[in-house]
Amino acid sequence: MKDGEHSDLGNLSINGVGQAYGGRYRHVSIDGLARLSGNVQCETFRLNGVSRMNGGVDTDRMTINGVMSGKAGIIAKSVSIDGKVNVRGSLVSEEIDLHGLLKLEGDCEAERFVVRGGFGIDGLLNAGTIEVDMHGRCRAREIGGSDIRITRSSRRASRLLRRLFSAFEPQLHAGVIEGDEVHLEATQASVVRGRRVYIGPGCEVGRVEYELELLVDEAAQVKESVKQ
Amino acid sequence: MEQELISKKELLEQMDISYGQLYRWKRKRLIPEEWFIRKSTFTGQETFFPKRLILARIAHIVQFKDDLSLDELAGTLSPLQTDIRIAAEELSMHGLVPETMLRKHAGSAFANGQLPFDQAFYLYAAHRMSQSLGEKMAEREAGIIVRLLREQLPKLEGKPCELIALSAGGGYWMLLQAGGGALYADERTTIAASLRLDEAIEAFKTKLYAY
Repeated sequence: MKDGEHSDLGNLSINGVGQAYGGRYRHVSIDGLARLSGNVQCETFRLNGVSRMNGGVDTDRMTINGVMSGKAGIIAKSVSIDGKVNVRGSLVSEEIDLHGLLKLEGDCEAERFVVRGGFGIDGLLNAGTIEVDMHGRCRAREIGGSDIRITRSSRRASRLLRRLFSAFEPQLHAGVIEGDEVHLEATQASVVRGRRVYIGPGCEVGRVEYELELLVDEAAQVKESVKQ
Repeated sequence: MEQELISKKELLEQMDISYGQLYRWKRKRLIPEEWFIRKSTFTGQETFFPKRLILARIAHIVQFKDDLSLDELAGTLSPLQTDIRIAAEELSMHGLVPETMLRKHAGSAFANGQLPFDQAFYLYAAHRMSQSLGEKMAEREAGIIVRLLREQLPKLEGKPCELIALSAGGGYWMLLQAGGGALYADERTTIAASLRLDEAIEAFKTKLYAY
């Protein structure tokens, strides 16, 4: 939303259980359980609780503490999630900070994509900096960016993460992973391409194509590697 | 209609760019989604691009990226950007649109010796068609092309479009085909000329922005 358009818009505030229409608001704030029927355009979107969105969200700053499910995509400047988000569309933002679980039917785009937890992205994860500290299953059809760092967490998991990802061993499944600096752990991928590539413990990769440097841990499997 | 492809790998090497840059330009919509052509090769999934289009686009981005922020750059690449105004002399100077065609068909869009980008492009497309068809294309058919594009092209932004001239006896029928795909004509009709508009826009911009 352009600056200056916000001042004459009303806020949407739901406390407890409520429903609202979509539309243009200045600040959307949900504390409880809400269902929003249409697309929402706003300056900030804050959820503390559970929200079912029948449309998409176009906002500057989105903060989710709880569970959100949406039928259409999200466009934002910054997204901060503490909980679980499930969207039948794409998520496009400059910053994405996830503590929990993100599921997308579409693509995910960001300049920075930082995760503590897990994600399932049906499409392409395209982000400049990708930092994933896996606590559960992660999946994307394709991953592309500049700095890609996927680690299997050794840190003590938060209560939220223990609740979301109880039994499964953290692993990333992806088709193609391409980046400049690529650091992978516990990753299963068909093809990994990069300038400098590190294939760490727990990885199973079909093919690695690297430009400058390739390091493969002894606890990792790489079927073939080619220097470009 | 077939066109030459270049693989992502060859592209990175030839233009000396990185994966990070390519993915970033894709996020900024500097490279259209349609240009990413995924194919299975014996080494796995690989991505290809229309060769001439991508080489021109990357050259443009690399040339301007220090002067303009990526968001501004995306502005200059929007195919039908109407607030860029081009002086008539620039068009004839770069050999894009002959003066006669400008005078006859620019019409009301012409103000202060300048044309909006999209109107200038329509004239260029008409000029390219008349070059393909030669003498046989009547003067007024240039006007018909310009009006067709004016009316339909804005609605088709984002789709690959082709301008096609059909002939069945005297004169030509101008068609705009959106979305790609082959066209088949009956025995009396010939496809006299065709112009892919995405390539035409690239050629138009390249010539226009050349110093």
